[in-house]
This record gives sequence, C-alpha cells and structure tokens, in this order.
Amino acid sequence: MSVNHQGLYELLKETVGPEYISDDPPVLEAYSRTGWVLGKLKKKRPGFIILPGSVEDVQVIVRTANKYNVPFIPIGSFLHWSCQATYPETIIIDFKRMDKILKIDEKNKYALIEPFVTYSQLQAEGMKKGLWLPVPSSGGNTSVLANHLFCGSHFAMHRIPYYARAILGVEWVLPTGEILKLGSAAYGDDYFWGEGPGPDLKGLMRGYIGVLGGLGVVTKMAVRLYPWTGPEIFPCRGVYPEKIFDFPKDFVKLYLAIFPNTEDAVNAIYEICKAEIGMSLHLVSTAMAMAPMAKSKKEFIRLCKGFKKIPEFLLFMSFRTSPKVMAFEEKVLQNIVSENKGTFIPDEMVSSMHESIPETLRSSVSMRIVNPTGGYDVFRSWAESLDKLLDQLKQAKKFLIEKFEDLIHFYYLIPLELGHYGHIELSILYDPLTQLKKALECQNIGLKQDADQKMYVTGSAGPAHVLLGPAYGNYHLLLKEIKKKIDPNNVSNPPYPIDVRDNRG
Amino acid sequence: MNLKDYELTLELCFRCSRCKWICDWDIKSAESSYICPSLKKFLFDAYSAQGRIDIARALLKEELNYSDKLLEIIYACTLCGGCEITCKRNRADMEPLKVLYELRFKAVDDGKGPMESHKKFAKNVNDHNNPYGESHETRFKWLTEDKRYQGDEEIGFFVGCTLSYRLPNVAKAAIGILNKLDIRFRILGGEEYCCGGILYRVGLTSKIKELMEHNLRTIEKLGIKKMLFACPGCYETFKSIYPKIGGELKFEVLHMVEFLSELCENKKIKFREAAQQVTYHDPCHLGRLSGIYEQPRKILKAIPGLILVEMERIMDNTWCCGAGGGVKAAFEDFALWSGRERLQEAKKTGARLLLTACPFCELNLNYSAKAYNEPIETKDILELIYENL
Amino acid sequence: MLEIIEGEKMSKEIMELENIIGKGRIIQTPNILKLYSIDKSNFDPEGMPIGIIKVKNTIEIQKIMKFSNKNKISITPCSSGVHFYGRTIPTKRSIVIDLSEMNNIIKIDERNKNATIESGVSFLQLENVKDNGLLPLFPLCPPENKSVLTSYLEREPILVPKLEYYEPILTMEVILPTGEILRTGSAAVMPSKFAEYVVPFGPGLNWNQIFQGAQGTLGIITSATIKIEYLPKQDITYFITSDDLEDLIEPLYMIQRSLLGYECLLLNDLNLLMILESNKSENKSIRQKIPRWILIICLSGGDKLPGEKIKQEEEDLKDCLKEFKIKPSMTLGGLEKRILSTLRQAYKGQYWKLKLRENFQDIFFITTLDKVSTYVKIVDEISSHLNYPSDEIGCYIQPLVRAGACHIEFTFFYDSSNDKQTQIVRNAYEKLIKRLFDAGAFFSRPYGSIQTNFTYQNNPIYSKVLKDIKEIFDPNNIMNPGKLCF
Repeated sequence: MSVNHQGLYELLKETVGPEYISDDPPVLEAYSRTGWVLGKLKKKRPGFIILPGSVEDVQVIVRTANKYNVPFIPIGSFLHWSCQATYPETIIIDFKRMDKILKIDEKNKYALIEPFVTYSQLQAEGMKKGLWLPVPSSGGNTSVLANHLFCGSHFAMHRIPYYARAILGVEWVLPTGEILKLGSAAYGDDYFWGEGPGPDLKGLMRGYIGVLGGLGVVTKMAVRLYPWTGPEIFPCRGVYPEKIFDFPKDFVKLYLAIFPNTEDAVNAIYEICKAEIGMSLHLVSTAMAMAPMAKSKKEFIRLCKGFKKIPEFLLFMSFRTSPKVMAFEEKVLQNIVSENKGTFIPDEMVSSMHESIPETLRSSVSMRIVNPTGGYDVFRSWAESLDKLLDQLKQAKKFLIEKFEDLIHFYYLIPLELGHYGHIELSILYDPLTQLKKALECQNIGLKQDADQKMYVTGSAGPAHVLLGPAYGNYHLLLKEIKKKIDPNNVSNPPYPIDVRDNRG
Repeated sequence: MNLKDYELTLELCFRCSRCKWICDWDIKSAESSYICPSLKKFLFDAYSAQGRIDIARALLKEELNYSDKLLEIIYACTLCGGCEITCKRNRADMEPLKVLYELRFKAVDDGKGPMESHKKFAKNVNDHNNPYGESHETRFKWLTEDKRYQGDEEIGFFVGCTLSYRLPNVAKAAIGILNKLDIRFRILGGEEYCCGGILYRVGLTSKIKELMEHNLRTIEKLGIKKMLFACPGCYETFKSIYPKIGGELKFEVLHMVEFLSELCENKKIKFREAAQQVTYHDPCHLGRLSGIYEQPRKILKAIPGLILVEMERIMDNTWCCGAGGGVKAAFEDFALWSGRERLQEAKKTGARLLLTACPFCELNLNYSAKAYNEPIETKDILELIYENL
Repeated sequence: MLEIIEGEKMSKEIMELENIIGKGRIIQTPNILKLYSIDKSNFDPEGMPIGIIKVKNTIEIQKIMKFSNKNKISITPCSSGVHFYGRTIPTKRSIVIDLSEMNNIIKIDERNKNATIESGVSFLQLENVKDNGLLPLFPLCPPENKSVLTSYLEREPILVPKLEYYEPILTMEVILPTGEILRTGSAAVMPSKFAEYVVPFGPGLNWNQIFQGAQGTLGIITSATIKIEYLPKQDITYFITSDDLEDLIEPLYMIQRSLLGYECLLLNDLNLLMILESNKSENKSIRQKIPRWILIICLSGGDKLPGEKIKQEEEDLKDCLKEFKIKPSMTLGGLEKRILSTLRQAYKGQYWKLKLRENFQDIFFITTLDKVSTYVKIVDEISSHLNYPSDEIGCYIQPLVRAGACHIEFTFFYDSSNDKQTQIVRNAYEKLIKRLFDAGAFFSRPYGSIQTNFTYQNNPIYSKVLKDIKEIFDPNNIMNPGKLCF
C-alpha cells in the first residue's frame, strides 16, 4: 500500500500523539549524521523522528512501516553511522521515553531495562546494590541495550565477557510487529536467563557485532551485572576542570609495564591469563593510551612527550574483590613481568595516567580519542588468538606506514575470556576537514586486504558482509535468507545487517 | 566572531551525546542524570547542544531555512552552560555554548530572531531601562529609610532590574547585611540601567553596548573600585559579557556571596543559630558560568545549627531552574517544568527550604512550586543571612 | 513437510544411497536398529530407524545430506553411545547418522587453552588432556562414552560457575541439510594462516547459539574447537552441609558473589552416594551419616603461587561465611578424598544414575537459587502424593555464571520391567512438568513431547521464528523431524 508523507505523518501522530512525532527539517537535521568517516560522508535527513512510549507503540510503528513499505531505524544514542537513514522517509525510532530501569535483582545479579537506559545510569543504580557493569568504549552515556546489541568492547573483557554474553531475557518486536520473547521471558515475565527455549534465537541478535536494527526492535532486555565491592556512590569531588576521584586506595590499582618487544609482552599476557589475575589487561600503543586521557590536542602532545621512547606498554588493572586478592595479584604480576623480561614503568609516570581509572570505570574516555586531530575511526579490528593477532598487527602497521604515513595510527590488544582469544583495534586519526576521503580509502583498502588474506574481521556490517562473505564460506548468503525471512518487507533498517534488495532508489 | 568562526566545533562534534548528561562520575541515580533541560523537556535531539550544532552547520551551509520550529529550537534553551562543561570535560577545544549564542546572533542578524516576547522586553529596556516595562523612576521605590547607603564610597552595589522590580526583599536583605556589617557602600540610583544581559542572551547585541557604556561610564565616574551584585545575571554580564563586547572594567566585580564568604573566612561575620535543614541550588550564571560554587556553601556552613543537605546535581552538574536565556519570557511552561524538576530533586534531600543566590532562580522556582503545588519554598541566601545576623 | 517414504520406494532410495557411500555401510540389522529406537529414560514412544550409518568424515556426511535432502529422507544424528532424553529417538522413519566413529582429537592447543575435536570424541578421550596440564570443562560426571560436543551443544551445565563466559564452544563445522558447510566464528576463514579458529562470535550472526539446543534439527556438527582450562596445580575441597536446603542458599550466593572457588555445586545425599559408591547396601549406612544436602566448593591454585592463592581463598571463604555462622568442613564422612577426582573425569563403568534402578527419568530446568527450595517442595509433595518415595529422588543444583541462575535437576529411578514403578514415575513426570511449568520453571532445553508442547504452545511467536529459521537451514525438514516444535 502506498501513502504520502503527510498521510504517514498523520498515522504516526495518531500512534504516539503530536508531541512525540516530528518531521520538521531542523529536528530531522539533528539525526542526519554521526562523527565517523561514513557518518560524515553519508549524511542524510530521515523522514520522521518518533518517540514511542511503550512496546505497543513500537508494534504499531513497525506495522505501519510494513504496511506502507517505509524503513524504520531503532536508535540508542545515535553514535554509530548505521543509525543514519539510507532511504527517503525513514522513520527513526528514538527511545527517550522508554528509559526506565525496571528491575535490579540484587541476588541474581541482573537488571531489566528499557532501551534508553545508559551505562552510567545503570552502573550508578547497580552500585547501590553491590553490583556494576563495565562501561563500553563508546561511553557511559550510551544506551546499554543498544550497545549490548551492537558492540561489546569494554575495558574489562579480559575478565568480564563480551556484552554478547551478558544479554539475558529479551523482549523483541520483530520487523513484522509481533513480539518475540527470548530466554526465561519466553513464557512469563522473568528475564533472568537468556538461552532458549531450544535453539537460542539470541544468535539472531548479533554476531561479533550486532545486526544494527536490521532484524527488528528490542524493547526490553535483562543484562547481567557483576559484583561490586566499592563504594555505593562513585566517589569524586571538585568541579570541572579540577575534578578528582576518591576511590579507596586498596580498591583499584593500575600497573604499567614495558617489554623489550611485542612478543615478550604478548607472552606476558598469556601468562597473566593463565594465572587468571586482574580485571583489565591491555597492550596499548602509547598514543592510544594518551589520546583518551588528553582533553585537548595540546594535552595529547604533552602527555605523549612524557612517555617518549616507550612505543607501547602493558596496562594491568587490579580490582579488589577482597584485600587479599589485590596483594596476591600484585605478587603474581611482578613474577610474570620479570619472567618475561619486562619492567614496571615508574610510579610517577603511572600517576600521570591516574585519571584513566575513574574514566575507565564510569565514563570511558573514548571520545577524547578524537582530540589529537578531530577525526577518529577504527581502521581495522580483528579477533583471533593473541599470537595470530600479533601477526595481523605487524602486517597492518607496515601497510599503514607505507601507504598512509600521514594518518596517525595506534592500537590496543586485549585478551578476551582470560585469553581464549583476543581482540585488536587499529585506529587512525585524520583531519576531518582535509583527510576524510583518504581515511575512507584507507579503510576500504584495509577491508579488502582482510578478505584477501582471510583475517577475521569483527566489525563487519552491511556492504562489508557482501565483501567478506565469499572469503568466509559464503555466510552472507544465509544472512540474506534470514534477513528476508525475518524482515519480509525489508523495512527494518535496510541495508542492515545485509543488503537484500535495492529498489527504493 | 560569528558562527563561521566556530567551524571546528561544528565539524568536529562527534555526536557523542555527552552534552546531554551530567559528568558520568557524578551520576548518583538514573533519575538525576540529565544535564540539559531543553532536551529532557522536548526529547528530540535537536533540543540539545549536539542538535543545535547540527542545525548551525546546516544553516551556515544553507541546507536549512528559518521556520517557527527552528526559532523555537534556537530559543528553547536556557543557555545554562551544562553542555559546555560536559563537552569540554572531554574535548576542551570545543565551544558548544558559543555556538548556542552565535545561533541567536545569526538569527537576529538574519532578521528572524528573537522571539516576540523577547522583542517586547527589548522595547521595554529601550523605553524604561528595564525589561519589565516598569517606570525607571520607581526603580528604587522599595528603598526604605532604614536602609543606609552612602555617597563617595569605593564599594558599590548594583541592584539590577529583577531585584528592584520583582524581588525587593532580596535587595533589602543585601543592603541590610551590608548595614549590619557596617560596610559603607553606594548605589547608582537613577543612573542604574539594565545591565543588558538578557538582550545579549537573546541575540540583541547592539542595544547592550549602549547600556554597557552607560553603566560603565557611571561607575567609573563615581570612582567605584569594587562592585557588588546580588543578581548573577547582572554579575555575569559585567564579568564576562562586557569584556567580550569591548567593555573595559576598571573595577572589581563580586557577587555578594563572594564578598561575604571572604568575611566569613576572616571571621568578620557572626551568625545567630539557625537550626534548620536547607539545600542549595547553584544558579547557572554564578556557578557553571562564573565558577562560584564554594563561597555560598562556606557561608552556609558558618551558620550554627544549619544543616546543608546537597541535591544530587550540584555545582557544575546543576540542573538549571529553567528561567535563563529568555526561556521564562518565551516558553513559560518549559521554565515551570524545569523548575519543578529541580524542586523534586530538592525535596528528595528532606529539606523544605531551597536556597539560591539568584532572583531569576528564586522567582521561577517559586512560580513552579505554585504551579505544581510543590511544598517547598525557595529563598535567596541573602535573606537567610540577613535573618541570622 | 516430509512425505513419509515407505516400502519399495524406500528400499530403492537406500540402495541408491549405498551406491553413493559404499556397499554395506547402511546397517539395517533389526537388533541394531532396535538399539537406536529407544533410550534409557524417555517416556516418548520408540521410533525405529530405517538404517544406521556410522559416518567416517565430513565429505561422507555431505553426500548423505545432499541425497537425503533431495529425496526427503529424514536424518537423525547421534554421537554418543548413550542417550537419555529422547533426542536421538527417530520420531519419523529416519536414517540415523552415527558420528561416534568420528572421534579424533584433531588438535590440543595448550597456549590458547582449546582443543579441536570431532563429534564422536567422548569425555573419556578428552580427559586425557590432563596429561598436557589441561582440564576439560566437565558436566556432572558424564558417562564415559558421552560425546563432548553433544553435551556442550545441548548446553549441559558445567561445574565451574566462576567462568562467566560459560559457553565452552568456540567454533564449529556444521553440515547443513543441503550438504553445504557452515563454519562458525572465526573458523569461517578456514583455511587461513592468520587464524586458529577460536573466536565464537560471527560472522554476521552468532551461529553457535542457533545450533546449540537444536537437538540435531538444523544440521550436523562434525567438529568444533572448544575451550579447555588449565588443570589447577593444587586444590582443596570444602563442604557445607545441612538437612535444610534453605540453609545453604544464602552462603552459596555469597561464595559466588565473592568470586571464590573453582568447581562449586550442590547435591543431595542420594546423588552424591550414587556418584561415589558402587554398593547399594554401603550407601544406606553412609547415607545415615551425612546430611541431606551437600554444597561442594573447590578452591584451586594455578601455575603461579598456587599455595598462596588457595590460602587467600580459604581465608576469604571463611570470612564470607562468618555472617552465617558456618564453618566449612574439609571432611565428609570419609567420602571427601574421592569427590574432586570424580568430578574431574568422565564417569567410568556403569553410569551412576543407573545404579539404583535400571532406568531413570530426569526433570531439569533453569531457575534462580532463591527459588530452588520452592521447587524441591513441589517435587517432594507431588511425588509423595503419587507414592514415589522422596528419599529416592536425586537432586543436583548447579549454580551458573556466579549464581546468576542455576540448573536444577531431579532424578527419578525405576525399573522398566516393573510396570507399577514405571507408571508411578511416568505419572510423577507428567504431573510435575505441568506443575513446575506453572510455577515458573524455565525448560531451556525441552526434551520429549510433554516438555516441548508446554514450551512452544505457550510461545507461538518463538515457535514461528524457530520454524522460519528451520526452513532456511532445512527447507525439507529432513533433520530430526518431530523434535522441538518442528
């Protein structure tokens, strides 16, 4: 069926009321771009912004979109470029009215949330009950539900699993408008468990990253929380720019160590994983560690100078679960660092990174990463065994130095699930006013190389699936079938997770 | 400077959305975690600094035309500076608040701004030297004989339009305090004109220069070396806006709480016991935009028996009362709603008296209390000080 | 849907298939077919397969699948020599693909803590990784010839709740009903010099999760890379016991919240004794000496300073139990020495659940620890009412993911030759499933028609989406038809 813009507006207005729908150009403009390379290049205004107040509203919106063959995009904080409209008349579903923490189960350590609850909010409420969850690199102000669905990188992945594993019961409006409930919520209102019944349809929600709203809208999610032995209120005082944090001294401790070469550092990581110590463990290039701490370009340069001649270091963070744990972990860490020819960076240098502790715990400093040049993007991101990641890193660094020497690059490597595998992100900094196209070219060549050399890319979405699919056993064909089956009218954020047709013009 | 000069801010905004929330470290509850009243009220991202930055960019590139909605978005903002703090915390090179101002300047330059109600008070300032349209002659009619002030003093007290015409009790309290402390000071009398801050904030930059020149000339002529304010709007106008538009201040600018807190520190003030529980609301112009956070708290802590219980969002994370930036005049409902949010946060502390140090905040919070039947009173800190000296 | 092929046509198909995979490869001996038509515990009716093929490799499976798909012959995969839940009983006339002879351990990678194994690899085989200083993730005392992959695919709980990343499967090779291969996670890039195929997520979707719990209805998993942990260097096992289950729940929550211990589980006395003792009469005398409920917590130390690690955990354990006025014990009526070694291996000889009677029937589901006492009461009440003695119900409670939830498993014992006993257990089973379902029990892996009916009839949308997915993978519904909601 067809309907014109005004007709659709009226239908949507009827669903949520006039104050919660807009097609005003200035309102749409605020949902037209993100800060990423693709986000800037593919700026586009959607057709409508709608603010549902309930799952029933979402159902009606989705059914309307189906009926009139209009795409919709569910968004969190609209940080990722997949939130941007691709097609005309796209309906952006903004969840600011669905922002409740519905339950925190202290005993069974989970929270049931609506889509617009942020990590900082949930962490703040959880801490009062002795629980917390790590914030992702996208920031404490991003939506828990959206980011649990989309990504998963957080600073504690060494110990606490990727967010994909922290999703429990789910309420999910399918692209056709029906409500699918997963896990223990499948029959009943108890959301404590995520798998099943039977084959786990949670598998459809995301792979290494998510399906980017391409298979419907999740309206409620239970997420796992973790024990917290720190203070009930995040302890800090002062005002910008002199805010300081006041964690008990024996609660969290940061160690930095350097090694003669990256191989030794990776060996130390393996040993740390084997010893099962620490909350957070990263191998970071110095620029990568400094960028998120620097509030300005000037500060970035100053911080990097403080670490000159140190290209990379191991960053280890220990958390108090009991006072004895901290002492034990320190001892083992010292043992491992020295066995692997490493040395600890002097305390005064560590103290210059002091602020990274509270930032890491609560807010995530990721957006500061943009400061050195104003433009930041992930160049390549892979997951595999730590040894293989090291091989990939060497090759990619060589490529960047040879072909794109004017783009600053840096990386971090993080073991996941106590070293069963690892994740690496190699990022680039570029000047968005002059180097935007170059940054895109660099990314595109990189992705093609990944496909050619069969490296396992983590951040694939949309067109990347089509490029990687043939090199990855043609999984993209199955993905297409699933998209077609679950979203028969191709209205749920096309072309994600994968493009199945393109007749909208 | 104009909007074009902020190209970097416009181009480099990553859309991280930190401008919408208080500093993550300070979030104590899910409920009190927003910083932007405009966004919380209107919900669409356009009503945040991020959205307005996007709009500014589009306007500059002529991708967007003026409309009533666009003007509403530009003006439904209290200019409280919350976004400025939270953005700069991570990206010190960004200038979101300046963009919000420049948007208004541009709207006026383009002949579209400000809002009708703003034009009305601009006319009032023009005709009567105050935005309320009251007669200039009655500016000091509240001044009773028991209030002493002198001539030829180096300390001055700039009363301001709101205290003069709407909250004379606070003006009286301020003068009463100075009298009780035996501090000699003077006022500008008939030569005190509106500071013009409100005009500047709605984008009317031309008239404020005239007002500034008059006020500065008067003050200099009187030989005042230290000017006291009880209105953070006037205070911030003198302290920050005048220098921006070419004004040269040859005197010190102090809000009463700065002045009094120094006296407290030097043990020159003795308070009576005041056994009560209070909470304190940081006015945006005094706190976030001028950095005066500790001084009012020092004074309150010096009052014996007084218990200060803080709200969750305080100091640089303060939730704006909702009155600033011309919002009270153009978007009454929004101002009252924002005030109610603050009152509810204040109520959670258990205190039944909410103190502030700004007549705009006081008025708006009390209007909100009345409109929403919230059982909490807002009072200026100067009144409390005066009562307990 | 499948059209049932009977008689002559079937014989013709079988002959054609034999031509493809080799003469004599399809076992049709009635006695052997009979073995595959039933299992040890399920009340679902027997289902006679039309043939058994003990497959040797992936290529062979691909050929069979292609042929079966083309000719709409249903396939029931099985890997273990023992089955208890009806998963491998053909509900339609099927060819059983028996993977038990695909039992190679392809690779053991100590550095990256994983092993690549074929589907037929049993826990007995896998426990040999201990020689490499590694420890497989064991469910509770699995039969020695139980397929490791089947156990993991069926999401049987593992004994170590500290592993918040509880899924042991990293990547898999799946043969789809079309004969195509889907490799999950980073195995998708196979072969690649840049991969060791250890990343469980992606590509695109989380395929592992879709195939787990599918009971062989979506494809055949031929091999997988699985997580293995390091074998602790030193251990101490503590016990906390009580006749009242409720006494142990809060301490268990606290232990897990304090991130203490390695293996940690709760058993009732009957289960513990069946696991540890072979002699029934001996059981009775020991049973009188130990309380009804036993919480087992093992403290372990790894490669670095294991003694110190254990000491630290011992002190923390005692500290965290102080508020309950509980002192954990290192003894358990003389049984203590054998417990940990038994938990860290496949169960040798006669399976422990078959010691009391010839057959057993499990009822298990997922819940939270704060509700287990309620469920235990329900089970006790209903079984007593039906004249099943409550002291002959085995119970196992496995905290999952730091006690965020738990698996609870009740076991009823009977001799199938004894009609009365069988009927009592059958009655109890049927009544309990309904009652427990109503009380909120979450059957995350429903087996048998009663459980699946309750599960899927109560969630038609879940069933619909499952069917949609099934149609993509298995358009002709040849894979283990009749199971789940298919």
